Amino acid sequence: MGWLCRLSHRFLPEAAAGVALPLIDWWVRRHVAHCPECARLWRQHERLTFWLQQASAERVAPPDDLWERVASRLASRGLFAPQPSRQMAIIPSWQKAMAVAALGLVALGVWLWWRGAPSSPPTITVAPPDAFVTAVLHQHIAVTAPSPFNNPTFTAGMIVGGEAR
Amino acid sequence: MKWRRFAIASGILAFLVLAGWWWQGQVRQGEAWGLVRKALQFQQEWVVTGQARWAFRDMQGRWVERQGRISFSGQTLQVHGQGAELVCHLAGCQVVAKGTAFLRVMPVSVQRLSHVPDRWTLLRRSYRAKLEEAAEVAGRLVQWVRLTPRSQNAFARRLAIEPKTGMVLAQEILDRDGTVLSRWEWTRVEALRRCHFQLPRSRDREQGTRERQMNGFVPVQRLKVRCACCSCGMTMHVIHATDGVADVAVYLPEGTTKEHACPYCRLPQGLSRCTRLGAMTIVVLTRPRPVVVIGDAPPETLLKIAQPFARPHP
Repeated sequence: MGWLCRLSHRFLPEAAAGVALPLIDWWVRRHVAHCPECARLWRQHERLTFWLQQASAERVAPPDDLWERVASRLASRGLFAPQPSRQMAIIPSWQKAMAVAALGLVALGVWLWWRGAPSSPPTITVAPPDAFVTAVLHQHIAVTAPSPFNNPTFTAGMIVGGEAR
Repeated sequence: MKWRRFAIASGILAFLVLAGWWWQGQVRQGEAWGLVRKALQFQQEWVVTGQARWAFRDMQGRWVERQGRISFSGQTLQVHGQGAELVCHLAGCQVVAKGTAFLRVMPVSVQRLSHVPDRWTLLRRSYRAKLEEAAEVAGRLVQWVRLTPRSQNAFARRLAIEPKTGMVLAQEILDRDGTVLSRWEWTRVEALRRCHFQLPRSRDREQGTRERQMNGFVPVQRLKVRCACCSCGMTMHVIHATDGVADVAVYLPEGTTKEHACPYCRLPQGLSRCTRLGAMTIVVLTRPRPVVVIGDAPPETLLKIAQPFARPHP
């Protein structure tokens, strides 16, 4: 049995029950179509699923007052009768809280990503500088003269470099 | 029991390794900031002259390299490049440029805005510093430091700082994808001159809320200049802002379009446009009010800065 078969066995119950992810479902079915060993296992699983479904359909439903009768008998013996409904209610609320927290985290992540993502650059025509812009560019040397990292020599050199072209 | 001890020991070891790695990172970052601080102090006090090489990408993305000589006498800066010359008298923001065009602009009023954080505070707020490789520039040993902006509003930079003095011997401005847009490098340092560009601090309060923050850039000085080339008498309001390293200036011309010999009086017309000279970007908005924004920042940042100024006053 190859590793592909072992992997398909892992996902086979999900695929047979129809709850696997579409990609996994597609892959398992494709593998089963080519592998006789896995196909045999698939058929067995299908039969088992069918019997289980049939058995559950034929199961007799308990009478409605069953729990009340059991509870009254337990109470008459002095035993504590737990309230299944309350216990059941706690678990879903935990799950709900976890789900809400996870969703909140995902939303926060998406918001942070969206905030950090570069916005699309606005459209503006790219054109060579005209006389006015060149004059203002020269003035920029004097304006940024007090700036330590834009030493006037830096700006002037760039402009001269541009003009020399 | 043995396995439990082993797990605890592994955990402690992993914690120690992580703590050491974090500590080393902190120490290196501290060293990087120390160098940047030294460079800032040096550049604020001194102007270097000598032979320089500058290179930049033009609008077509081609890499252009030039060499030239930069001299400084009094407050006159002269740049002699291959076939081009530029002379600037920088006293009080007066500029007389003799390149392809002659320009003479006189200051009417100059105000260094009060109540603004100093450059060091702005720099720490806007950038992250990281030590990079050591190299040799102009025969001097330098340490490259990378300044990465905390926002998308500015370009990243690499500074080659001489650890002994703090002199910046080379500088690179990089695009978001790491492409070098501009590079500046001293090939020979000839002299150091005292920098006299500190403008008098004004006691006037800042005017207008829109000048307080311009996409991460904080206004530091406001000027009013007048054309002295011809008789048009056109004036221009200038707002100079910085994020600690990069500089952006908003130019607001006041006057009507006149056809004089002086290029300063020819207000921009036609469509709004953008020009790039390496990292130096120029955005021109023509309507409803002409606005020119120049700075070594991405075009979209400059456009966002220009747009509120282009709108007519309420």
